[in-house]
Amino acid sequence: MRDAIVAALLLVATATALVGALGASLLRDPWARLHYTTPPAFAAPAVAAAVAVDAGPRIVTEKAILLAVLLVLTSPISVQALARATRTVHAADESER
Amino acid sequence: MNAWLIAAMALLVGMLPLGAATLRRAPLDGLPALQVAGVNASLILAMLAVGLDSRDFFDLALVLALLNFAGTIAFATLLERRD
Repeated sequence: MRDAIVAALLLVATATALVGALGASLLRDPWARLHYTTPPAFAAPAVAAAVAVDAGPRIVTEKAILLAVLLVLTSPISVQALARATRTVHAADESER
Repeated sequence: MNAWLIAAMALLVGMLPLGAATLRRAPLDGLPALQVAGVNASLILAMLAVGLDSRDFFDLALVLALLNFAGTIAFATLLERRD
């Protein structure tokens, strides 16, 4: 039972991260690509839940939760920086034409 | 071969299109792919640490997550002022 829950949570995490990976690498539109940079960070809570189910209250679980909090808090900030850089460079390209 | 290692393998295969994108695109266009690759690598390290039962290595995932954040911010800021 416990293994099944762990496998299901890992499946959710892997699917989320893979969607982000494919979207961020294969899409043509730079703005559409930016949308897909956040999903991998939101796979981390699923991984943390899987670790919590697998290991119980141990130090690994705390570290996994810390990793999830870290990724969820920092990824919107990096996406904002990426979006600002994209906008600036695109505006410069437009004015050069 | 447990579920952790299988999930890590799947994510590792997902790194291939990201690597291709960072190699072939212009620097700023490849930056989102680099950021996603860093996050995925940190998830892979976390999964491997649990799956291989060497849980002390979980710290690597935490360190990589922090460094990837700093790196993305630095690259974005520097590429913004390219002229």
